[in-house]
Amino acid sequence: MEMKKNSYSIFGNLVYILRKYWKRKKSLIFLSFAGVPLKPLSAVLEILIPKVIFDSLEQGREFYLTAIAIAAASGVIILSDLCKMRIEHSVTMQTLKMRSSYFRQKINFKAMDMDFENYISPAGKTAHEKAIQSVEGGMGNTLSGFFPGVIEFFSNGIGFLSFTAILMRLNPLIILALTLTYFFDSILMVRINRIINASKNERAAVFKRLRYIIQISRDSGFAKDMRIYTMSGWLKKIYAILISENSSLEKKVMAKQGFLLLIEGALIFARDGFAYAYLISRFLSGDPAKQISIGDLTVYFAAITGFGNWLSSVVSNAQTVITTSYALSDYRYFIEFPDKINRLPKEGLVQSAGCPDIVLRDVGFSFGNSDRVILDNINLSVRPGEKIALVGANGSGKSTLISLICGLLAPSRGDVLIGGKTLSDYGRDKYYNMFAVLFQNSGVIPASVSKNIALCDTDEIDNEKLRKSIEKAGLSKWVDSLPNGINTPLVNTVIPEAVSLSGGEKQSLLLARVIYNDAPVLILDEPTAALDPIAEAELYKKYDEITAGKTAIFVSHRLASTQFCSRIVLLDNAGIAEIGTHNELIALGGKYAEMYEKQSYYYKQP
Amino acid sequence: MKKTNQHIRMLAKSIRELKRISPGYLALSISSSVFSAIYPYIPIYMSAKIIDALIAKNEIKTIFANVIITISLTFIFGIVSQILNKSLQLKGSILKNHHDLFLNEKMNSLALSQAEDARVQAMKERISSNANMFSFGIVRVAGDLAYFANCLISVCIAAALSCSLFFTEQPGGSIAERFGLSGLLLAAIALSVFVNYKSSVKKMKQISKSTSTLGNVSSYMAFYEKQYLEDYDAAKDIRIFGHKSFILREIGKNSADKLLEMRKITWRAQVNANMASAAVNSLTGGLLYVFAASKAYMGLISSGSIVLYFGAINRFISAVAGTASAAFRIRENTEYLKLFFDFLELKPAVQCGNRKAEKRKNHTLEFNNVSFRYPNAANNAVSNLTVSIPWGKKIAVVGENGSGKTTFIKLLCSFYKPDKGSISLDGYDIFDYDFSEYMSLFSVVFQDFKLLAQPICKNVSADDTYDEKRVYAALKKAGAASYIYSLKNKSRQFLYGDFDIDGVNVSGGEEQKIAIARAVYKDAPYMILDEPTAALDPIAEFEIYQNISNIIKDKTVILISHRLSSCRLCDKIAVFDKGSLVQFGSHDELLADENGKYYRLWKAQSQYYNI
Repeated sequence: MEMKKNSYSIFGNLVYILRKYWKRKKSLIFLSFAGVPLKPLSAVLEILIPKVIFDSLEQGREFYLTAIAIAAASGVIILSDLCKMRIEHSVTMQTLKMRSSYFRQKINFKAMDMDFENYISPAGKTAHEKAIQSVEGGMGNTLSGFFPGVIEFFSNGIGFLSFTAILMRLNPLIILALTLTYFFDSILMVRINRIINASKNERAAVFKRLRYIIQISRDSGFAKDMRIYTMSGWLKKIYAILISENSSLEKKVMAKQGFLLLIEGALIFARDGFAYAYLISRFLSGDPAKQISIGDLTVYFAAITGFGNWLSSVVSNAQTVITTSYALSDYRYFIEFPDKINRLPKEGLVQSAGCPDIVLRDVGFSFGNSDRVILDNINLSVRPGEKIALVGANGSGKSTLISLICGLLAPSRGDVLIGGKTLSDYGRDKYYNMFAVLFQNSGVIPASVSKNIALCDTDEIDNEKLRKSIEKAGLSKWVDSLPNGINTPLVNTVIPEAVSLSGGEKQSLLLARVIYNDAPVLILDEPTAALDPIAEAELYKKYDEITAGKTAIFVSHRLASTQFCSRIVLLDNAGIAEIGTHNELIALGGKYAEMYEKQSYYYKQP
Repeated sequence: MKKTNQHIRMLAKSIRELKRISPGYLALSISSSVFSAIYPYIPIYMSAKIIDALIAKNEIKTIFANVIITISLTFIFGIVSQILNKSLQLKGSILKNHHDLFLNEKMNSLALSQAEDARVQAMKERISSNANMFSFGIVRVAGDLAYFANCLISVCIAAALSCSLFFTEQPGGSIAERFGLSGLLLAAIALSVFVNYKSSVKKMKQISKSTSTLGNVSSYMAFYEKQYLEDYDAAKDIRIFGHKSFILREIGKNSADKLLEMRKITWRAQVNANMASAAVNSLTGGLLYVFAASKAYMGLISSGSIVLYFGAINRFISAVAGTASAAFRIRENTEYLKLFFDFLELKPAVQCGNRKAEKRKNHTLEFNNVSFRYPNAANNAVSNLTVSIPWGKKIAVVGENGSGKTTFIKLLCSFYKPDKGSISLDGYDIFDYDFSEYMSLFSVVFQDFKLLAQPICKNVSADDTYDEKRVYAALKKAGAASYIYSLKNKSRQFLYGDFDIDGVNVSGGEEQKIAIARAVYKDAPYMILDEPTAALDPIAEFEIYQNISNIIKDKTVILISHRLSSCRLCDKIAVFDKGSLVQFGSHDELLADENGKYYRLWKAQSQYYNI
């Protein structure tokens, strides 16, 4: 699912950001525009002050008049600078606030909300990474620098125009000459920026690797492996590669920007040389129409060099505006990444009460741009309230089947019907509400035990339901042993007072989570992998209780579990190879029988 | 004074460290500041000369010579300082990106107990976010020094150029009249310096007060934004359970909002200080303009030098303010540098000796009355554990969750030191041995093993180099060869998509086999397998069990498993319960004791297979 790149123009982005700020922080817009004339005002007054003195000297004016003029000008400059500081401060604060409380949150929300298939696709991951880059960093290259960059552009533009007005009085041709150099400069800059922007994907990839290696070092499993297998030398080599990759990319960007600076330096050289020559000739000219005073000379010279400064500021602002506009485009591209699955239910949807049936009709699945068929020709009917077991070798497609049933992935072919209706009939959110899934590798968050189970704020927790869920999951004794009971925090890498969980405790906690969720369809993916034999047996005993009134799917390698399920579905070779009760499949003498035989081999008494 | 010493010493220390991590950065910074300090004075000085030459109607040749000198010097200095500046930006940005890698390296060199310690992790997180979010710490040292040098040089040049303004001859008038106005102005300048300094200090106090409220904000941010929001499994949970608003609120409450508050306070402090300085600086500047004008009026200074004095004095005022601000920045950074060095200077908590492991046919490994409790835990994880690990045998370790099995392994691997008792290898305490010597004796597959997003062959050899034949043999023993050699790049295929977009996302079972292959490749005398078939399907599990005699020939194996079927493969079974070893014997011996723990565990699981 690719959207057209750069379909966001600078003007379009400006309208977008103005709308966002207008809704939330009108003062930001007003203050920014108010501050626009302040910088040019100070600059113009500053170059006029020497002229006032020179002219007064030449014309023999009274000193006190001169002194007053200087004092007045200085006073205005001071006030203007102070106002500018205050405005800049306020604008920066507001911008930062918008960045973290709005833009960042929207990116986080989108990452959690977008279609799962998009989220894990390479296009989605790159877009996510670039969106993160667009808000992480300095004002010069993130989206927060866009609006201030535009404002500065206008401010410097006014300065540029005011100096132009001054130079008009000297000789309009000068403006022309200077403008031509500006034009040349800006073309060069735009081209260089295009090249820099094109390398952004590359840079996103390098940053992703950096972040991966930094993140994996936090993993406690990795910490152990690293020491046992003395991988520190290997890691050092990986770090060195990342460092050199990163450096060479940065060097390329800087080299291009440096080249631009060189050109600009040469332009300034030529400009200043010409200015001096021209003004000196006018000063020394015998023609009274052409002659200029020493005061004028200082003003015009300052204006010409100042013009050059405004010019390079304007150019640099334009560069910033372009870069930050690209950042804003990256942000918008990610936020507006279209979902394939519709969110809202179709008209007239009536949801039946109780637990639904599950029907898979000719379902097949491959990932977006891959040829590899993961599942094909899947036909399955699960009755309402039935408990089935799903087994199969690793890589047979069990996880994908689960993802298809619970709506994380949409089938490439065929239909998945829950209660007779499809994912798009329900709309994504209503559909997910029907499922509670215990995924194999789910994690906990740095919050209290109760929040981890209920997944909501403390005041929204149903305490009785929570207590029952903890009990059904076999966690009561553990919770009672905790220093703060259900309010004890978890994840001690974030919260020092938190308790750490063993594999079995974590698995029981996740079980409590799905029990609390109480959805009509319950899917458990390897819920006993980390449980000891006694805890495992407890779960099997309670299974009927846990799944009462629900349609349930139990995925496990432990074939003991299939005995309290009404039917077993065996996946193999991208399809359903065998389906039936335990006894039927043993009698069939196929793959299931083989697996059961092998697993029970060592349990059977000699 | 003592405090200033402290800052200077910290600065010196950080300079030495900077020279080590990023050689040339400091030298580049200083040279850059020299050039950029001089650069603005060129037009100021030269234009004064040109104006005077014009008014004095000097020869055209002289005038144009001055012009050529001016624009050439401007060009050269301008280009050089811009290029140096860009190189500095480059070095600075590279340092910032590698700062985290650098912290990682330190973390990797610490003992496991420290790596798992929440406080050490929090320390690392704070240093990392200080650098990434606020540019505090070592990443800022070169820039701060350059800024200071720049301002100081600028002050000196400006003072040199403008001091003659105060020493012009004034005909007539008393001493008071002569030096009165100069004195007044010098006082104004002194006031300016004082106000700049004082407001900087006040700003610093307010800022450090507010950053101390940050607490573990950085840990939360690291968790959510670097881990949780990029995790596929979390992504699945969030969608099915539908708790994204809850997560957003958690993020906001614990990190984002706090951060913003802190920023507001620091920025307010900064702007107030800056405005105070700016006001007093501008007033002084205005007075100086008037002063210079009056001298020009009295014919005491040439017209051209008006431009010189204006320019020089202007720059003097802002350079003085800059110097105060630069000094403040250096002071402000001291506490962040302290945190950085405290972390860097952490000594590994578990000290080992340097004994070499004997190369012998059989080793003896014993626990002698070992007791151990995790930090902050209420109870012992193991108590009074005494057991000898018989060489060449396969030993199963079973027990309920929390019975001490994994702790037993961690103690055996010398990751933690027993509180009481000792563990000995060949008669010597294991902590007498050199750490890597001791580690070379063990091949371990932990329950929460991790493979890297690197080529499979490197994951198996756990190194950058690998022996292709040996890799193949190891994968074959682990039962993974047929799958892996069917991939496009065979064993050179990358795992996962983090490093190589074509990396393969293998299933949990294949991952486990690769981890086992890694243990096999190492070929250490002791092999420890912690739930090695937890993710495998029955057929693959059976394969492993069949292969286990191949995998562990001539080795001593400790096998932890909840799947009691694996006990049938072992010579002895160690049964743990609540931190103690309660039974130790063969399967048949233990099963005979119908009151024992083993009997209970066995029956609970086998009941489902004996129908």
